[in-house]
Amino acid sequence: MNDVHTELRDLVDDITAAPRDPDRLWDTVVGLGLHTIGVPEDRGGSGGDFADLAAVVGRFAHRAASVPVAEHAVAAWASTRAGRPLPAGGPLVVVFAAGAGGPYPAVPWGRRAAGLVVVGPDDAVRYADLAGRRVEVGEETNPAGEPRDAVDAGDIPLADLAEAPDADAIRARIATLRAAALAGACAGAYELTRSYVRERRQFARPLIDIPAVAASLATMKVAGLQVQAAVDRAVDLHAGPAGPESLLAAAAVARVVAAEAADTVAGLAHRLHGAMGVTREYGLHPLTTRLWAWRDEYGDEESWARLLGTHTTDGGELDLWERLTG
Amino acid sequence: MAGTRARETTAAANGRAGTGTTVADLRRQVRDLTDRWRVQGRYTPRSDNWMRGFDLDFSRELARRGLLGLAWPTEYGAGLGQVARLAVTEELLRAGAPVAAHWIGERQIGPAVLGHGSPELRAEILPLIARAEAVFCLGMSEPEAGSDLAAVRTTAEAVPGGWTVNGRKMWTTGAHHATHIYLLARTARTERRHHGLTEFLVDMDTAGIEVTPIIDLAGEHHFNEVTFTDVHVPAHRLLGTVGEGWRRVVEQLSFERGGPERVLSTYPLLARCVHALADEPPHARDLQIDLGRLTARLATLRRLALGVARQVDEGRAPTVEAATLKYLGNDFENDVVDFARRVCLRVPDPDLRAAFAQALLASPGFTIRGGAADVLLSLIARQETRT
Ligand SMILES: Cc1cc2nc3c(=O)[nH]c(=O)nc-3n(C[C@H](O)[C@H](O)[C@H](O)COP(=O)(O)OP(=O)(O)OC[C@H]3O[C@@H](n4cnc5c(N)ncnc54)[C@H](O)[C@@H]3O)c2cc1C
Repeated sequence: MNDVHTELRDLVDDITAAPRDPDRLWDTVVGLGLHTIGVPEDRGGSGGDFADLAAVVGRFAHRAASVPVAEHAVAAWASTRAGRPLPAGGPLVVVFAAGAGGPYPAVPWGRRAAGLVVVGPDDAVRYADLAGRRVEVGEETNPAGEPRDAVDAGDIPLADLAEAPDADAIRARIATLRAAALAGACAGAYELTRSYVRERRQFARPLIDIPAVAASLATMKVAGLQVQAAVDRAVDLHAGPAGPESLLAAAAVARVVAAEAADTVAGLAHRLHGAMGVTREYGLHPLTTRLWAWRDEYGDEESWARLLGTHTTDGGELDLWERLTG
Repeated sequence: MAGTRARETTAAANGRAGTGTTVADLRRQVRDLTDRWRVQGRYTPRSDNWMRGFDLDFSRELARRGLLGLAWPTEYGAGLGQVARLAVTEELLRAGAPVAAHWIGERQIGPAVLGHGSPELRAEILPLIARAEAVFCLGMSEPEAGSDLAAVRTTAEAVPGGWTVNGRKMWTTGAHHATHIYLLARTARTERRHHGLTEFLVDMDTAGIEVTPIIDLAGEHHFNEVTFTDVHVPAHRLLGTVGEGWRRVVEQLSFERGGPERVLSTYPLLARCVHALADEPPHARDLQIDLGRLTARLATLRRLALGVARQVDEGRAPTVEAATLKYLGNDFENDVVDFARRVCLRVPDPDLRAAFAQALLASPGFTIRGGAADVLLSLIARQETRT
C-alpha cells in the first residue's frame, strides 16, 4: 500500500466512522470527489488512477458501507472518454443489457441514478440521461439490502457513445472493482472475527487458544491473502498496456477467487462468532451479506469460470502459461 | 544504456546469464534447453520431477549457462535477484524437467550460506552449488522430530578441531545421491528446546555415515534414513553461530516453502489435460468450468509466489506468506490430480491415464514435506494471535 492509498483509506474510515444514511454518505463522497477517481481532472474528474479507485472501493467495503462509488466511477470514466460531460450529482450506473432495450433488472441504485451507461448485447455503448425524466422503477434489493432496482427507461432515447472504451474494458473494470470490494469485505469480516475470538472466553480461556478455532481463523486469513493477491494482479494490469481481453481475463481470475474466498470467509466468520453473529445489532451481517450478494453481481462466478476455461482450451497450454507469467 | 548493452553482450557471448540479462532471455534459454533435451529423449516430463528427477548432467548444463545461483550476488552468482530466479524455476517446473540434483542446494542452502556462513564457508560451498558439483540433502527430520523439529536428538559434541556427530536422520530425500548433507543437531541440552541447536554442512563420504533406502508407495527410492556414528565434522563446516540454529532454520523454511514448486508439482499433468480437452468441449462443458476455476487459482498462486520473491529481494523473510503459498499451492496440486481423474473418465487417452497415475502416487507427500498443512495453519494462527 502506498502513501496515497493510506491517506484514502483514512479518509474513508473518517467518513464512515458513524453510521449515516446512504444519501448523506453519497453527498459527502461527491463533496470529496471520491466518486470520480480515475477520471482525469480536465474531464471533470478527481484524477488518480485505477489502483487508487480500487483502494477506495475496497475500503468502503471493509467498512460495510453502501455507496455506489464503483458504479459511478466506471460509468464516469466510460462516458467522459466518449466526450460526454459529467452531470453534477449522479450517480451514474453501468448496465449490461441482455436485450436491445430496457427494462433493465437489478440496476444498482437505479432509484437514484442520474444516468445509465448501457452496454448492449452487441457491445455497443450507449447513454441514457435520466435527469428530469420520468422513469419507472421497481424497487428491489440484494441480500444485503442494497438497492438493485428494475429500471424501465421507457422512451428515453439512448445516445451512442461512439468513442467509449471497449465493452470488455468496461466489463473488466467494474468486475475488478467488485472483486476489490469482496476482498475488502473479506478483510473486514476477518478482522472482526479475529478480535472476537481473542476476547471471547469459553472453557476458561480465549477461544483462539482452542486449536480448531485457531485453524479456522488461519483458513480465513489465507483466503483473504489469496483474494487480495488476485485483486492486486488484476488492478496492476490496468496500469500497463494490457488490452481488453487480458484485462477481462484478469478480472475473471479475481472474481472466481473472490467468490470462493467470500464463501469460506463468510461461513467461518459466522461459525466462529456463534449466536452473536446472527444478531441484527452486531456488525458481522453487513459484511457477510455483502459477500453473499456481491460474488454474483456483474457476472456470476460460474460464467467467469467458464470464460477462463474456454480461453484455456481454445488458447492452449502455452497461451495459458504466458498469461500466468506475463 | 551503453553500459547495459555492453554487459548484455558479454553475458550473451559466453552464453551465461548475468547482469543485463532480461527475464525474457532467461525464459527463452530454459525453454530452448528443455525442448532440446525432451525432443532428444533425454528426459520425459512428469509431475513432481523437482523431487523425483535426478540428473546431474542436466543440472550441470544449467550451471554452465549460469542459471544456478541466479539470485546470488555477482561474486558467487548472476546477481539478478529472486524475481529473475522465479522465471527460471517456474519454466523448469512447467517443463517437468529433472532438476532434483541441484534443487535443494540452490534453493535454500546457498541462501543460508550467503546469509550467515563464514567467508571461508561461502568461498568453499557456493561455487560448488553454482556448478552443480555439490548435491545437497536436508538432514532435519528424525524419528522423534517431525513437525516438532525442535525435538531433534542428533548430537554434535565439541572436540579438538571440530565436532563429533551421533544420531539418526529420517526421510532424507536424495541422501543416496548427495555429496553433502545439511545437518541440524543439538550442541547443548538446555531448558529451552529452541536453544542449543546448531547447523552444519557435512560431507556425505565422511566415515561413520550410513544411508539406508526407504521405498515410497510408488515403489521408488527417493528418501532415506541416514545414521551418524562418531562422525567427525571439521570446525569450518559449522554454519552460523553455535546454539542459534533454530532462528536460522526458520528463515530457511521461507525459502523451502515459498517457491513455485509448491504450486507446480502437477503442472505437467494439467498441461496434458488442457491438450486433451482442446478437442472435446461440447460434452465437457462442466470440465471447462472447473478448468477455469483451476486457472484462476493458479494465476493467483503465481502472483503470491511473485510476492514472496519480491519480499526476499527486499531482504525480508516472509514466513507467513511462504506458508500461505505452500498451503494453498499444495491444495491446488492435489486438485489438479483429481481434475485429471475426471478428464480421464471422459477422454480415452492412455498417456494421460499414465500421467495421472504417476501424479496420484506422488501426491500424498505434497502436503507433508516441508511442513504439513495443519502445521502451516497453526503457524499462521500463532502469528495472528501475537500481532
Ligand atoms: C516426500 C517427502 C520428502 C521429505 N524429505 C525430507 C528431507 O529431505 N529432509 C527432512 O529432514 N525431512 C523430509 N521429510 C520429512 C518431513 O519434513 C516431515 O514428514 C514433516 O515435517 C512432518 O513430520 P512427520 O512426518 O513426522 O509427521 P508428524 O509430525 O508426526 O505429524 C503427523 C500429522 O499430525 C498433524 N500435526 C502434527 N503437528 C501438528 C501441529 N502442531 N498442529 C496441527 N497438526 C499437527 C499433521 O496433520 C501432521 O501431518 C520429507 C517428507 C516427505 C513426505
